[in-house]
Amino acid sequence: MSSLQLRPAMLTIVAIAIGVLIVLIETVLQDGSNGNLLLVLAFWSALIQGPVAVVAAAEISLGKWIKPMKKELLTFYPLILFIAILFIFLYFKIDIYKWTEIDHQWLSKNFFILRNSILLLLSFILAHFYVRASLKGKSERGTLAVLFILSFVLTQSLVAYDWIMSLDYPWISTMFGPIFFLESFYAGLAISAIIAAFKLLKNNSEDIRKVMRDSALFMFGIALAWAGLFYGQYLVIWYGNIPWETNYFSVRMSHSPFREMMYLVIFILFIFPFIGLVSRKSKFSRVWVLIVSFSILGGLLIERLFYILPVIPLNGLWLVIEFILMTVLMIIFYRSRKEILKYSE
Amino acid sequence: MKPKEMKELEYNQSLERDILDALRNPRPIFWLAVLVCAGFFAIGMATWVYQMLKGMGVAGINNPVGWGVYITDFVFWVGIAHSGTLISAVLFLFRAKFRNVFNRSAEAMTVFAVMTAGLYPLIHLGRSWLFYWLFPYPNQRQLWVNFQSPLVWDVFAVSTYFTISAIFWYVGMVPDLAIVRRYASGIRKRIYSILSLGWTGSLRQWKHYSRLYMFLAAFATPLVISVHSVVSWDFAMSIVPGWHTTIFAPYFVAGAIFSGTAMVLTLVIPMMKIFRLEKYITVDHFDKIAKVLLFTSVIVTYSYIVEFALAFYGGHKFEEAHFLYRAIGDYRYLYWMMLFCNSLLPLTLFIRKLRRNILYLFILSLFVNVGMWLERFVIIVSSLAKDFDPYNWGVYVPKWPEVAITLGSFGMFFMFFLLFTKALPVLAITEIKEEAAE
Amino acid sequence: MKNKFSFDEKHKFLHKLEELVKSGVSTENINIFTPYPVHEAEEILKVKPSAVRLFTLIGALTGLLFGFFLTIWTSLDWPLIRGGKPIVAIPAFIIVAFELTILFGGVISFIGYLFLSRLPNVEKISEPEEHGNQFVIHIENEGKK
Repeated sequence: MSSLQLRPAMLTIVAIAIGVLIVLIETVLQDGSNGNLLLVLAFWSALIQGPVAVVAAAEISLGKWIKPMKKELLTFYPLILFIAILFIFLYFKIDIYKWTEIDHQWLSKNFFILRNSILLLLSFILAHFYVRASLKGKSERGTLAVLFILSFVLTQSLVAYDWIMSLDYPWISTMFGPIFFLESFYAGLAISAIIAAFKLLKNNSEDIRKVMRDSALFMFGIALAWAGLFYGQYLVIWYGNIPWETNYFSVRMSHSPFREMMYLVIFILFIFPFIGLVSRKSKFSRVWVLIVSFSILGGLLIERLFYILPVIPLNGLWLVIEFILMTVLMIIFYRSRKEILKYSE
Repeated sequence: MKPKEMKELEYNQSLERDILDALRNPRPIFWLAVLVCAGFFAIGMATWVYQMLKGMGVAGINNPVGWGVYITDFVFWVGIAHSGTLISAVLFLFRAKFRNVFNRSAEAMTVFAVMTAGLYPLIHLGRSWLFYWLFPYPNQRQLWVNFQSPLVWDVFAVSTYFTISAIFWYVGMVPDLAIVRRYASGIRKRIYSILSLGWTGSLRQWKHYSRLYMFLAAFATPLVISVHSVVSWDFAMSIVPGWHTTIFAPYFVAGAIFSGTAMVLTLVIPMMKIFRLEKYITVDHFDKIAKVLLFTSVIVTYSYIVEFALAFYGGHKFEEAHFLYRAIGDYRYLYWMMLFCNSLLPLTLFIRKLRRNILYLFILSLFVNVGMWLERFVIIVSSLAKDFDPYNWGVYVPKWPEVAITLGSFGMFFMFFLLFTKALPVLAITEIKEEAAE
Repeated sequence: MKNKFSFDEKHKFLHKLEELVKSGVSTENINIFTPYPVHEAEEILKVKPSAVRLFTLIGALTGLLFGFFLTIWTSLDWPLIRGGKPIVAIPAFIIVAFELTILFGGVISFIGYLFLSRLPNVEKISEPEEHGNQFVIHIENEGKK
């Protein structure tokens, strides 16, 4: 597997190649408008920003638990730039949004692409400076961590409000933003737990065991918080019973497969980690933590499908290929962490 | 913190002495302060009696604004309570050691604030003597309460919250009460002996104690979130513009912790100065709690922005009109004042020097208290004053009984807190000992 | 042999405790008193984990079931449609059930704690047993060992 450790120049080429492949798939190879690219962006941006945000949040709160895992999680930060660039190509798919047909100050094609890509770019730049400062142990790393977290919250909020929620314009739910950045954080913790568990399968180290335990502990906490937010959103809409508002859920809850997807999401993102990680022993079991963490990532995917699929179709085959490409990209970046972080130092 | 050269026993004894000194010999100024607070409390209670005798008409609330200062006060005091639980339970679970110097007074604050808050629904009821109708019990009317009503959820949430925080406070205090018992004499010794339940500090007691404390913390954390969520749903369950929005639960929870943390600062800073506890409550501790304040302030600001922006994004006429009304309508001064106190001023805490300036923190905390009270007032009143039907619009101005009862509740809260500082150990002695030994 | 030792400092106390356990004194006969919880001592004496958690579990489950039972049963007892919601409106009842889970869980854990640690102790209330800031080891039934 050491062949997967690439130098920065090579990495850039691979990233560009994968990016070009995805763009080709989106523009040339498949016809008809679908939400593949949106799903790829919405899902992978959470997985890429999440790990960096976890480290930054731990830095702010002086949490030492993350230390042995710092490099492994920070290595994904250049991919924020990848997402920023890939996002621009959403311009060719913009007609998936129904609001393109109306005149709206905030929701206009150019402004939509512009603000989101700029924000992602900003997030990348802040992440870059933060990673440098953090690995060198500079004194301004705290400030940079705060700035990065702010940009993270803003981008993930826009992922929620702009990318996903506007599919159902003029439906609004103010809770969408908090749910999405919490979920991105959730993904970051799951990735941290997965990396820790894989490391432990190779060789046992007390430090890494603690990282896995703490990641699992936080996942347990976030499962509860996620349930609170999701329930809080549902309850307000259910209770208010306003037709234009309840429509969002009634469409999704009265038809298969969306109904089943919703129950599945609640099970995977709340009940399963909650019950699965409640005991002390379970947080130390490598295989079990792996199962829970992977299922959480799967749950996040299903949740995004649950939002997107009722509005626009997806092309299953191409989606699988795109996801495989993105997974390969993540693994390559993880493998090449020494090179990447040397470059930033 | 413990100086390195100091022996453990020596440190522990000086710690006990310093903290128990605070319990001794109240000076006349203390009694004067208690008297002033009790005076306000009495005026408030008398006004309540007056309101009961005369009827709710003496208060400014009427159609269309049926929820005014009383409900504002209720939400405000429940909010104050929250940071007590945050500091003692959430930070305990996060193993944040700086909580040890704040938790006792924060928990006391929680208990007193919930007591104060609990009065307001009763005051607001009008026929206060029928308050027990809120509880589900078999009765000759053969009726049950409406479990779909957010107000009934409130009954369950707030009473559970009071019970659990009181237990949490007391459990953590028993070992410290045993220390007070050791130093006391006469009738005081008797009282503290009973209160400390015959604590000996045996292995068995500590073992169960540690477990219980952990479980209570684990219970209190989701509880505190649920309580203010339920309070927020009193509003969000309706369809009134400005109230019916999904973010309300986390937004209120963050706001509650924000205001409560400010109140902790308001209470602890004078307490520290008066009892000369600077040795234990250091600038570093304040620095950290100021960060909590800043963090929650940013969340609250985020919610303000989201709420405001989405009202215009969605293009719903009533939502748009409502948020414009907040910013430029009858209550605009309160609104801008609120933004200044809650969003703008706390941003200064990004500056490390100001976080470590105790006087500045104290003044800031007063502003935040005011700002958070205004926030609840703006949310509650402005939504009711202008909802859908122009025929149903109106402006609400509080009348003197509402002001008097509000002042009375402050009197009650501060009176209880003052009495607490003289009756019970104000710092968690055992926890500081444990921390120092590590 | 002395059967009562007291120390000013934690590490000396732990040292002695370890020595005693190694020398073959049955852990059941050792009573210790400390000014704050000392988890290392629990490890040395190999005490079983506290049974408080049993009470917590039972309390929480009772609260949860009771919460749902109370809300559902009272709603069915007088089936009146409120606000266009179903008679048994689970999303709304979750809140009451949740609060009661915590209430019962907390209160029953507290009762369990009092029971398990034998508090309040009337004897010790009338004549308090004080150890100050000392770490005390007390060995019982020396002869019967």
